[in-house]
Amino acid sequence: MNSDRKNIDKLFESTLKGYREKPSPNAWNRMSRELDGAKSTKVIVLLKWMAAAVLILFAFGSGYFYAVYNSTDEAIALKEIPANETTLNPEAFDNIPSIAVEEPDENLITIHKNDMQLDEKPDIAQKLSPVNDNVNSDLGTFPVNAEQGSLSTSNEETEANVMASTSIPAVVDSVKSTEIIPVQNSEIVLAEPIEIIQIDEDKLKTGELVHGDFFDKSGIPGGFGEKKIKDTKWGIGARVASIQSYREISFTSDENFSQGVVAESNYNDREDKLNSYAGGVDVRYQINSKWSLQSGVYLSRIGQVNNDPLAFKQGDDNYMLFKVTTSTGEIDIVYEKVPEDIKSFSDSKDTSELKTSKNIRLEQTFDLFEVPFLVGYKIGNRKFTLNLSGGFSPAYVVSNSSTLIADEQKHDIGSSTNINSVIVNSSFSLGIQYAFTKKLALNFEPTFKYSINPINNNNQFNYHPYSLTWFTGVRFSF
Amino acid sequence: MDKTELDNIIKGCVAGKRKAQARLFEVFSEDMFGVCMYYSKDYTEAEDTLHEGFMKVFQNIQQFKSKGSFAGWVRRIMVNTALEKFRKKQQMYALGDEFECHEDIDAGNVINDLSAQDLIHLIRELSPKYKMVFNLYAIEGYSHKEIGRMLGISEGTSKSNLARARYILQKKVKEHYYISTTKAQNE
Repeated sequence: MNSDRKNIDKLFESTLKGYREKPSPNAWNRMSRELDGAKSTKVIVLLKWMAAAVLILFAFGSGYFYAVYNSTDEAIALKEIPANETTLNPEAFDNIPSIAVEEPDENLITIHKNDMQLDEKPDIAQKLSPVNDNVNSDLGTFPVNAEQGSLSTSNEETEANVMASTSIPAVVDSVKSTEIIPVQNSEIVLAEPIEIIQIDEDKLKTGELVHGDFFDKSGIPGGFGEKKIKDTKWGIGARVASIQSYREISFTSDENFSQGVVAESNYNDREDKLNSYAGGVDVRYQINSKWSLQSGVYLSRIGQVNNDPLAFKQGDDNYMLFKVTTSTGEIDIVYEKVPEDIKSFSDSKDTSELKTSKNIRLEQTFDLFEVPFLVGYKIGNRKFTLNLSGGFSPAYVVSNSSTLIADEQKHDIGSSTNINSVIVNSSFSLGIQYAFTKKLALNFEPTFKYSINPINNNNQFNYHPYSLTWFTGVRFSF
Repeated sequence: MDKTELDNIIKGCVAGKRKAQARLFEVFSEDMFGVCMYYSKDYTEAEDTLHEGFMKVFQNIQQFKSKGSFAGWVRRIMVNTALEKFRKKQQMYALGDEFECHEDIDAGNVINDLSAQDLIHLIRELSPKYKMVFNLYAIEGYSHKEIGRMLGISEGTSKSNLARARYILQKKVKEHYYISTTKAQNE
């Protein structure tokens, strides 16, 4: 019998191994047409990528310039300031502690060179009066016209603008009113919109803000003293994220290439991304105003979905699930955990295809415990900031499971074999942060991670997970 | 075709030159169509396999390393393309237990009386999975372990399928021989 087997093998091998047959004359024409199509498709894909890149650059560029040039200070246009808004109320300051203020310098002008363009209007400085001695020094000082006891009454438009852009905003916004400065409605005529600096009265009380803040919002020394910036060095945050995880598979050797081309295509047809979640806490140390170091601990879930996952082994009249081959390797399935209505196929002919009416898919999931080590760079120093960060994120695979989902009912049926216990992700993120206060901020940080080493040790494919993680969270600085 | 000419054709294909691609197709299409014929159920499917296989060759030719045989590389792509089509059709496999052939059928006597066309016809009568396992084992020379990995089945199942394929082929060869000899005697 054994020789007979060899005979039949030999018969077919010797006859068919060198068998040749000419395809139809139209075969090359068909090929040529498709090759033309493939070329034009490549160009279209390239153009789409370029368009996407331009859009992304435009979006980030817009965000950057918005952050840099459009401060969070509200710009309002005033033609006239109603008397009820400019009448100062001394009660507003009853509870305000004294602010450490340098002695007013009579020669000190509250106007920054950039704002004033004094070179062009040398007479303006002369027209501005020194600080009125009657002004309560606890309030900070305001450049009002001592002689007239009010803001400038000059008809010169330039002078009015200068006054408005330097001293009035602070008065209007934070110092609701005071009798010390008897502003008259008709006395203020502003030709152009002015910027008003928002002053947090709580910060004023606690001394976080000094009067220098009133006049120079960008932190440039000006006004009646240097602005004191209290940098927060440490920050701690909590974040959650949705993750879309994918994988890249590559051949472990050239020998696997020709087989792998087909298998890769086959796996790509059957396997899909996994949507899942992540969460954790992060710690940040601010090295200086721009650079920071970041770390933390995260739990995240990655994996993939197999939309055509089932292989069967026949046992008597029943069909038993036993193993599924995927691009990570194989999944060992615990037979007893497979629901009865899936494994109880009955088909007397084991050569026929089996069909099931159930919608079946298999999720391979890997739970990771990550400790990232990242370097961050901040663009902008106001309420809205852009944060770039990159680095490495070693991850320990704490759980590896496979879930069979049949008509949306989940059954934990086994685990993937040949999975490494540690992977190292490279990480890059571009986030936006909005500071509610100096200490509390909300951030949104899309993060891209790619595993440098494969998660599997299969002998045919290297399986590199990569993911897009949409982190959202809060950060408290101290 | 000498090696230099083949190298030039390959370089031309890597550069996407249509003349080189046409020449490559001209040189290898007959051999490869022969392979596709016994992996496919009919002529039309064989042409589709040939078409898809050559598209893969052209799209991935830059990855060919000059160390091995180019013809062998192309052939493996054709076989794998046929496998891919097979797997797409088989959403789930019904895999048989180890099959024991209890009947000895001596096919040795009829070996020389069958043409390649006859054998292709017999192979095509097999179920797809038996055909795949038999072709991969008997003609391509893959091991059961390799076949198991390629088809997503176990090594034991591959052996089982081969045993059943052999049994069926032996039986068909005998029937074919019987019919042929009966016809000849009647004439």
